[in-house]
Amino acid sequence: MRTPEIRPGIRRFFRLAAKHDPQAEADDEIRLHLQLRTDRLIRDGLSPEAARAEAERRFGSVDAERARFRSSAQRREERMRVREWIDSVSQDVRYAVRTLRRDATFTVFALAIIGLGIGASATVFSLVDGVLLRPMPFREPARLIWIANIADDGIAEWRLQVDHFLDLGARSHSLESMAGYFAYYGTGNAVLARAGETQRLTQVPVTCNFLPFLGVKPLIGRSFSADECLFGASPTVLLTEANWRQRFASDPAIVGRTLTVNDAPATVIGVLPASFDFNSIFAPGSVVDFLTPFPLTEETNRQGNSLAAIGRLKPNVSIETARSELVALGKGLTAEFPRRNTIRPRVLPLDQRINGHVRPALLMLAGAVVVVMLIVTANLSSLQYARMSSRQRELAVRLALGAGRGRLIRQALTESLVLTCGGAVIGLMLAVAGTRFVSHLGAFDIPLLARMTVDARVLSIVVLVAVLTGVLVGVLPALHAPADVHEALKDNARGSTRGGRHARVRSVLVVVEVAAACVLLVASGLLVRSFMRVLDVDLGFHPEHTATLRVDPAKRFDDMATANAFYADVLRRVRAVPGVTHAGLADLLPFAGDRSWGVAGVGQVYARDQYPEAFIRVVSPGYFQAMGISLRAGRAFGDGDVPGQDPVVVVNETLARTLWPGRDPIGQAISRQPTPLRVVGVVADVRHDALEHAFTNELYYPMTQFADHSAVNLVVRTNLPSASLATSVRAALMPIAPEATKNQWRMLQELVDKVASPRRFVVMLLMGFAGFALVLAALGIYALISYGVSQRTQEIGIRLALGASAGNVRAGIMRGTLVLAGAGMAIGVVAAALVVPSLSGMLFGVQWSDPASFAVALALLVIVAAAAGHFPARRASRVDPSVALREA
Amino acid sequence: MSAPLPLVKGTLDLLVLKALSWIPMHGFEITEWVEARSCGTLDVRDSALYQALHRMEERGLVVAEWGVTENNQRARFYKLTKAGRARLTAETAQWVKYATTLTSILTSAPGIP
Repeated sequence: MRTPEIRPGIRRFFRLAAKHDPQAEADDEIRLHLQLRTDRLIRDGLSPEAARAEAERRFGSVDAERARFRSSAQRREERMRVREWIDSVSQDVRYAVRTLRRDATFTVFALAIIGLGIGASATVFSLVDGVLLRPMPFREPARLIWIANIADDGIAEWRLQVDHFLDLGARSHSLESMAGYFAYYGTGNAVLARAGETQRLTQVPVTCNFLPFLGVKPLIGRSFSADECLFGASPTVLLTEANWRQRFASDPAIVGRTLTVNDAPATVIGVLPASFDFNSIFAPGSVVDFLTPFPLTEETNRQGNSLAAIGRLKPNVSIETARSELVALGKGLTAEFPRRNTIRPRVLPLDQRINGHVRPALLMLAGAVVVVMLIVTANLSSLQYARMSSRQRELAVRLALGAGRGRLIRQALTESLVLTCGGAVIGLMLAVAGTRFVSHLGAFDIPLLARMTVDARVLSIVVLVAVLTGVLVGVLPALHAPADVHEALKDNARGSTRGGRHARVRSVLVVVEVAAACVLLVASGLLVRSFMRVLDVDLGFHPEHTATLRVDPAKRFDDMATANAFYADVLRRVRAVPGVTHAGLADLLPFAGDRSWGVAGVGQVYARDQYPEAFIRVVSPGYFQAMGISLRAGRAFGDGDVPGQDPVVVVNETLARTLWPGRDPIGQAISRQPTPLRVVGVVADVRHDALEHAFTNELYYPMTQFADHSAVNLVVRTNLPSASLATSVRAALMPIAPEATKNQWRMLQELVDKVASPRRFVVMLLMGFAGFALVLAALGIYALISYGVSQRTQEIGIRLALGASAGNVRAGIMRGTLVLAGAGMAIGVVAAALVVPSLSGMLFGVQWSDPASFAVALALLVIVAAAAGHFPARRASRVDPSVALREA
Repeated sequence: MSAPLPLVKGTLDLLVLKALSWIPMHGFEITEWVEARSCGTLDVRDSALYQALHRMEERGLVVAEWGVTENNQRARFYKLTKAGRARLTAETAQWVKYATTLTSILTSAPGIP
């Protein structure tokens, strides 16, 4: 008997060659068995018919068995095929790992750039996902709309007056319901007294239905009841989860307890879930500690435009329907109730209102990481391509041994997939660190930042990117695999047609890299210049060497005389601190909130909704000096501006121009009942909401005459380092305002930095991407030119031997490099011109066509390309002709 | 000759592995081998044998290759794998231990507690 001696491991190669049918084979096997059995029985003396019958009898029911046998053969075959496939893949992977390990420099470089690329992609994706893509943590958020009230200037947004809010809700047929919150809650408006200490926290008054409306269920306890939302009801509060955790140690028995808030007992009725983060949605970058009920009554109606309103569309009602209905209702209400404020609804999807301002920036970052990944891919593809061609001999041997071309292609793809998946692991670690870092940037004005994490969605994106990159990287080198042994062996790349094609393919890849880097450089150049312009804007005040501290009195004063005595005492003590040059008080600091109302000069008459709107500041004597706001005319507030004296105000230049164009504002009067306000001074305009916004009207009241303010901020200008000053100012205030000394000591510059923070964040990220792209493009150029030089050593040697100077050789190579870079830059400039106009919304003070940004990008690329070409060129010029020719 | 004994469950696989432990065989050779060794005492249904072979092939205990017999007929030859050999050793040891124990109990003097 002869048995083919075939090792099991070899089997698969035959299987690849010939497909076979397990069912037919099963039949063959049975047939042979029956035949052999019959033969044996005949030999034992049975007649052929009897032998046949006996053989079938012994086999069992042949038909039934055959069917079972067939199916078991089929099943066996399938399972084995899967196992073999897994075996062969793991063989490929092992082979790839071995190959990559031999080429450690390349592998480390590849893993590093894939890791960085995927890390950046995953971080940006989780940012985009958390902020833009995932639905807001509310019930059916797609049906929620933001309802604002268009200001008289047609641009700014006001809030809604309570009666309008109620009437819109009652009259609308497109809205299911409406809810809202009091928009002018002040930071630190809730003084929590516990165990003899006070803390300034922030509470937001919300309409009774706020939580059920949004579909938010308290973690423990309940939402507000109707009784609790009546005007004058005994105070109740809902704690935010963070507040509950940090200040009350997550005490489950908190519900029902009474806290002392603003000198009055307030009952805790529940705790909000962590997923409902009021501030991260409606007021990013700030902290909210309590929700309280906001009564919708005549009393609150008198507060004017105070409600930030949200509506819920009825099912299947479009936002356009609701918009036109609400606009019409607004017109009707304005006409019907002349004594109320005007109402001109502006309707937006809620998510657009919440994240609309960061959407362009995030989309741009997403685009930037795509470009970065493109460069990473082009770079690796080019390198893999080079490795593949230097392995022609090895490939030829494998072809000769019987590996199919398909097998070689698969091997090349496996190798790049192994690389990208390895890189993805590194990238994932970077993304975890990156998301943690970004989500903890608490000072950022980006909504829902805290919920950005590396989760299953991010993981699946990482896997997708890794596989896609792997395939893209692998496909070119794979196609480069030789078709047959003959081709593989005759081709030694040098000078042959394949060698030429090789250089061309890699040149194209490098040109792509340079072009992509060019686009990123231009975009980041534009944003950097915008950012510099933003930082350069005239703030109207000087934040350097200036610090602030909240010094609100612990209790409300009964009369202005007591209050003024307190303010004077604070200022006197602080001014006495060594190093303090100026000190003043203000209710609101720039970028820290605002309120506004209509103003008019005495005798000026405007239509009801045409009154100029001015932002209101209540400040003490010394404030303008402390802030560095320059006085343009007249005088600042003085200690003589007290109750009983003439009521006075100071206007900014814009308001002066608005009310009295071409006239001297000093001595003019602003209408007010019962006594008009006399303008005694004009000060410089101040940015108060955003660095990018134009100046608007501002009206300053003296704190000593005007008690309608909700906070007191001390502003201290110094010529000493701030840290030591904080201690001495606190010490000075200790005897009169002990609770204030616990408040946060902040530099005025921090306020400015915070409003610039989203822009800075985007600029830094984009610069990082552009820098990475530049380095990769440089490495791409370097690798290609250097490869070219090593391929042409012989030719260079001959040229040198024939009398070419080293300088000639060097110049030739540099020229080649710059031509390559130039092609990339030309394409890059065109691509940038197509792409960057979409950034216009993010630019400030520069046009998208800003020549400087383009020039800097191109100059950087030229420098980097020249540097990348320099080293190979120098190597080429030092080729020793005799050595080069001997080696040939 | 008495009627053949029915096969104890699980022993068919063991017999097949034993048959293949020396040289690769095709299905009918295995049948003959088992019949010859047991002198007809064991009743091995032919279909059961093939099912056992397929089962063990799936589990990687044996591998099969097409080859030709002495008479130049195309046949599927089964060969023991490393895993199959290990299984044979282990199961044989277990089986011997089991049989010895059972034999010693069943043949001991009756009735002694």
